[in-house]
Amino acid sequence: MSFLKLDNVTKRYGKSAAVIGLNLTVPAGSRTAIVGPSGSGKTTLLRLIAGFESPDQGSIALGDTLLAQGTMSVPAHRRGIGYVAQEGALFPHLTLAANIGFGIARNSPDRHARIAELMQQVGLAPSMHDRRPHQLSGGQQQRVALARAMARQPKLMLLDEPFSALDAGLREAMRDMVGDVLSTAGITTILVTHDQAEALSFADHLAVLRDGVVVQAGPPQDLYLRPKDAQTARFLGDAIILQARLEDGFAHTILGSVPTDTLSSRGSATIMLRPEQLELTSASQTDPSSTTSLGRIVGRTFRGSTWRLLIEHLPASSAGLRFPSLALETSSIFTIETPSLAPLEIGATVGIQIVGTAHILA
Amino acid sequence: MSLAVSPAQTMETKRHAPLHLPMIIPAIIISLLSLIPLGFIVWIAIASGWDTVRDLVLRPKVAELLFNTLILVALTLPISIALTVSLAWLIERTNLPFARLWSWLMVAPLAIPAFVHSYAWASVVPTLHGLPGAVMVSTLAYFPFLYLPIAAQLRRLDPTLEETAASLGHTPIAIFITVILPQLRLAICGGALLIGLHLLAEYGLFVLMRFDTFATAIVDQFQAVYNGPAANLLGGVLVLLCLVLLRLEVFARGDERYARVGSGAARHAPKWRLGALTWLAALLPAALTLLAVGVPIFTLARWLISGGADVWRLDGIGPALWQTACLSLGGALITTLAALPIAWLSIRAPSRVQRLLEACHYYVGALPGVIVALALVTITVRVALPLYQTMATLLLAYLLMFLPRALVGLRASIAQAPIELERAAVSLGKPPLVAIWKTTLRLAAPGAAASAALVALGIANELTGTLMLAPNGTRTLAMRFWSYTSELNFAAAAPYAVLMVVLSLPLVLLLRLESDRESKP
Repeated sequence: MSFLKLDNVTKRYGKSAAVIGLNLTVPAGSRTAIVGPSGSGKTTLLRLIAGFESPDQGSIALGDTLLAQGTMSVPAHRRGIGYVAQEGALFPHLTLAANIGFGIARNSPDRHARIAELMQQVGLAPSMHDRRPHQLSGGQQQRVALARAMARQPKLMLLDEPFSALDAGLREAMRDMVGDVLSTAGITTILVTHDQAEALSFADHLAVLRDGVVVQAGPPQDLYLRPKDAQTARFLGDAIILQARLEDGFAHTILGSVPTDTLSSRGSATIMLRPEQLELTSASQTDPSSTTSLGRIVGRTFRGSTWRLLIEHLPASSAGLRFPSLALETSSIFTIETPSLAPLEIGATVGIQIVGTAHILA
Repeated sequence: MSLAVSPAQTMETKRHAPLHLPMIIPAIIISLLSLIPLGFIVWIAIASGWDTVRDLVLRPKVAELLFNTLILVALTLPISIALTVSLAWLIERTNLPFARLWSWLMVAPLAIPAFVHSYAWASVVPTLHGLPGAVMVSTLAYFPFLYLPIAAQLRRLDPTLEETAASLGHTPIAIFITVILPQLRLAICGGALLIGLHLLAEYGLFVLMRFDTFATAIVDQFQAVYNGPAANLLGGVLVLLCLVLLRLEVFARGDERYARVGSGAARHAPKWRLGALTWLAALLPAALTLLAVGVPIFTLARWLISGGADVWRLDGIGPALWQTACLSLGGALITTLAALPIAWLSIRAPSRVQRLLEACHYYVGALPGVIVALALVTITVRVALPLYQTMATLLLAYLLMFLPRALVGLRASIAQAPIELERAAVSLGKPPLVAIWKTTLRLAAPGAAASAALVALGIANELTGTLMLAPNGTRTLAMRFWSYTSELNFAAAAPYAVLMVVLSLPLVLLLRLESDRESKP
């Protein structure tokens, strides 16, 4: 069930196009994340939905209402779409309560009750009622901004990188809080971010944006494990990209053979593995005659709970002999994180085993 | 650990003290000097005794002056505010054609001294006088003081706030009232204060408009009876008015913070499309340009043409130019030098003492030139007669009047020189003052030169104080202009007005560039 629908939307600034022929559907009640590197057009997309900009072409519809068609556009103040800006954008001349009540009619009889209720919903103590924005911490400012945007009970809420200015620890807590509050209120939410980890953990629907078009959209797990191309794969997390020969549902690579997630294709292809699909075994335990390939640890970084290892593939493996044309796409070096409990020394030789299936890239 | 003083601590104090002391002592001396006018007024009030005060202050003439001055301020300020807010919004936030040209033209009236504005209007519309004339001409002469900060603030506003308000269902007009206007409050207060102080201090403009204010009455009294108690006590009332105005501004400004909350990159706000209203909207800046720049230029041109070559009498213009140049440059030099210690302290060693010293300058800078002149005349006559009507006294008056102007620019340029350079110079064996001279002052020199230029231009157009204090035989451009205008010889006055305008053009350029720089996010 689609709720917000963008159809073939284009927006140009002068000669450069920020968004080109973009199509996007957002399911009702979903938490959609739009993720993309800076300059991918994601902020423009959000501003088009909010009504701060009008598209040059295409149409935007919310439910049964047409918000924009061609250059005709419903102005932002008549759209009823909630918006939380990057740093909250609290009105510096108003108190916390006045900020939250900004969208509630002055003469509304339940104004005070609504403000109190909203403050409670986002976890602001009643004693903060008369504080000024500059007396609030970053997290509190975001809470006020959220409460203010919820005051008009919008059906759709737009979040423009609202957590990027917060500390790492606070960011996660705020993300959970915002997600919970909006889900409870039954508000469809769109989050724009350049942080893939944030997008993956927040969303139940993910759209990857690049150069003004939606490259791929779907459930986050799908996109993570089955990205359309190498660029999307790398954007969503560490990826090991390999040349492979496909045969009978298996991909043969220099790291060994793995079942593929689709059976249809044959011949040579590019496949993607996530680093967590590689298991390292101590080389001494490895039977030299087995098909397990070998690697040497050339560098490592301690990261607390894990070691980030830099592993160089040793080409003398049997897999390499059988398929001499195959090589790691970039170089024969890749990184893997392993639990820090059993540290591996630099220079150690390890066996590499692949678990799960390989994803064939387009 | 509380008992032992670590070697590091003693070294610290030793390192700081010698750097600051040579700056603090001159700063205190300058501050005491700048308290002279205020002290003089207090002393006059006490020394005159209550009976004299009652006889001279509580009389109908003073009530009339008070009414005139108050109604002038009460009319001019709201008109100027409404005018400049609409202008600044049209020029900065809409697609008004030639916006850049207009934004320069809106500052241009500052190049024309207020009394030249008045002279232009008096000769174009001789019937214009009294309150309507005073309000109109002072609005035209002073509105750039409001336009500059308001336009700068409008450029600096975070458009996200307006967008958020729109997403909360507010119409564009509601957004203007609830979001944009409150954020202009500081700029409006600051500009209005500046105009208010000018209205209290201006002499020439109101004499030509035949409108009596405290400033004109004081100068008239002074010229009738030198050093009379009447003029001094009127001065006291004027000082009270200034203080009231300063307090009002503090009150209106409130203690709120209007800076952006957060630090994200500010975007430029989108411009409103005026559509069919475009040309109607363009009428406003066009009409204002015509009245505030066109009329003075037209008048000057007309008098110059009718006067022909005869009005360019080099025996008058030459000495006036020379004297004006000497006074301006001399005054600018000593004022900048005097401002140096306090400017350096306010950046390098802010403290309660430093803030107190700065407050002295601030209040005196707000006092009209007449007060400074009255104080110096009385003191030289009573205490140091040899100094009466000497260049030294005149230069001291300039110093007191223009010190705040020098401070602002100097402080900004010193702030740009990193303190590490001073420390490095000291660690390389330079004595403190030499270290400051060779590093910070060297780097601050361009900014200091700019603020000295501002002072020099201010002195070049100063009329009131110069009239009251100048030694016999002194004839600056402003004085020559004024004496010809007083004789209604408008043609002979024109060349002097043109020269003052030409001299003021760099001032406008500097002010405009300053406001551009401030509004960069």
